Amino acid sequence: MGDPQYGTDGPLVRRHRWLSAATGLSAAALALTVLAPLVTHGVGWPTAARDTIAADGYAATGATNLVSAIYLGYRAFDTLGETIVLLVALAGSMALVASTPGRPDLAADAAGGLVDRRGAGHTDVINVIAGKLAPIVLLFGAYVMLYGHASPGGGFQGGVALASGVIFIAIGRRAGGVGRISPSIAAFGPRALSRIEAIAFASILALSFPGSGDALAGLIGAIGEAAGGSGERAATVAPIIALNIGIGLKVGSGVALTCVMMLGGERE
Amino acid sequence: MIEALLAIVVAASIYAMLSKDLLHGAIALSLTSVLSAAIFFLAMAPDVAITEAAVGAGLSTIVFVWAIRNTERTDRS
Repeated sequence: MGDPQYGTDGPLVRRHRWLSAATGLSAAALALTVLAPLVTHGVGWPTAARDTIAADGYAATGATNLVSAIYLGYRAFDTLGETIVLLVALAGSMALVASTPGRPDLAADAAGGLVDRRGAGHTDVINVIAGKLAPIVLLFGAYVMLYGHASPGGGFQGGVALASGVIFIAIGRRAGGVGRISPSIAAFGPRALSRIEAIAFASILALSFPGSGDALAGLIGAIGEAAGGSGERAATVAPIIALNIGIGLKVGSGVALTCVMMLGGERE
Repeated sequence: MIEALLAIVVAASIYAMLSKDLLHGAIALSLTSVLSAAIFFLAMAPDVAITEAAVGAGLSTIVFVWAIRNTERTDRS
């Protein structure tokens, strides 16, 4: 309160306010200068890449969802880079979360264990909703992840939905509403999550080596032929499904791990 | 339809900026994410809609609520 920087008056604050207003206005003017020609100019959007992908995307990658075809078929290395960025961001935020002391009252609350958390605003409504929603959200996430090549979604979206399901389980567990899913709780602990993330990231890296996608496609094609089908479509789309699963598990476990740590799950 | 949703998004964003109660602001931001997801869906971009709903309404809200819980709930400036 007595901190001069955060007071409501004083010349320092007033000058800063003018400075931020001027900076904001000049940033808006710069953005308008860059963006306005895009809207006002008569030249249309570039269409060459779009038309090529629309014409050849299905045949080249086997994915009916062209968004997946682009970001896992044509630009998989771009996606690999994004995954690494996400990994670094998660590592940074987990370091922050782990080093946050937290408020003493909350720490004592968490040390109280499973049952005492009910008092901290956790009602039966939250217990029931978290417990009932978790399997549905996990199933939805798995569907979005596995069918990213054919329907909207993909590894990242499915992974985040999976993470939401794990968070629901963590909330239910923290609130004491373990219920029926208690035998499988160890599968959603921090240790298991970090192992899943490491294995999934290793498999994404393995798939990014030259030739590994073709090898996987050949393997799936051979299995498909042995099963009596032609196996051609399955072979073409196999690397995309494999990348979707890898990215989904990596994103899901990484995000879930961060959130479970934030919820205080690591103290148990 | 899209215009009405956009108007609510703008109103909720302004409320999130001006609200002194940071928890109310975080929930208003979550509302903008849900409505943006609806707008993306209406604009026939279901992939983006799924991402916006999961990341914007779900995970970033959890991060905000965690940060508010570990600091304080009111905006003092």
